[in-house]
Amino acid sequence: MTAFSPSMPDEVLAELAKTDAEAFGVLYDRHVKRIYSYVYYRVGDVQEAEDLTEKTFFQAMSHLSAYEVRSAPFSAWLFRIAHNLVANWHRDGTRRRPVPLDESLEIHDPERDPEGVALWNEQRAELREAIARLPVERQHLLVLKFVEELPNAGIARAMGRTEGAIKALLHRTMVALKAELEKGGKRNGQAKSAGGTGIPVRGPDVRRRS
Amino acid sequence: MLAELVSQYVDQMFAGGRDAATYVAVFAGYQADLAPLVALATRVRASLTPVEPRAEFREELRTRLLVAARARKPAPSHDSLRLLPQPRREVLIGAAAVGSLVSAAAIFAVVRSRSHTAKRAA
Repeated sequence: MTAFSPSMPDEVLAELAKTDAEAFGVLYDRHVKRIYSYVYYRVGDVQEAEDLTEKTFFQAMSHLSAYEVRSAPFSAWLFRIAHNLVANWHRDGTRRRPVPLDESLEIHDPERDPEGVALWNEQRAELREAIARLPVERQHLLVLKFVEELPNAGIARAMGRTEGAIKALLHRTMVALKAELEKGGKRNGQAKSAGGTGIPVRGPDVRRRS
Repeated sequence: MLAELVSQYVDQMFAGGRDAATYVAVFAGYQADLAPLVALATRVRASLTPVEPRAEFREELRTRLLVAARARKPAPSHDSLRLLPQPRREVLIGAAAVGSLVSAAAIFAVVRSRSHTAKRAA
């Protein structure tokens, strides 16, 4: 078995992974959580998120020979594959809007003030509903920015735009989200976009990755 | 400018920078527009927490990926392509020459046949 240095850049590993399965395993270990998290927030369903995460990595493996280091960082290339699979998933008319996750995944900490916890869960659900009413592209941006914490340059590569365009889109998205929240309960919670949205109204209580 | 300030706030928030109020105070001229967006960005960050896959799923997928990766045939490199049996140069030249002769003979035959037909018609 080949030993790979933890500091070895993704792009070097990707070159090695064209002929070395273990190198692909290292890339998988590095990126599986982020890809899963991204997909989960786009489809809002654990089963579907697992299915699409699996497809992302198998597709990456089968197209690895076509990956060129100069064209994009490996992570941006991987996010692009995931993005395309999610877009196809949304385009598929047979898909139903994902069911919100089980309530048991919400915060239920007995040591915390129950009213405070309930209010927090409610506010979080309200925000997620507002995000779910945004166009899919803006949801995509929010997930890449706030969940994956990608820099603008990385988002630009993943979305095929310029860095300046991403900054402008982020601003427009925040303004639109603010407007959606102000509309509040006037809407009935139905998603605006025909293809359905992925942001789950109730999300799991998972601590932010360090 | 506002787009720049919002983007900058989000990036510095991830890096553990200034809180919303302190950040907005620095840009007093934009306070009215900037404050609600910055507060919203803080709220979005707190709400959209990263989600981790199930450990069993992660392990099982890893195993299947490695099995598939080991089973795949590596794409032929340029070097390995050079090692494939190539037709000999002389054979290729000979085949090209024969092809050219056949083509020339066919053209000659067609031209000759047409001139005969024309003479007869005259």
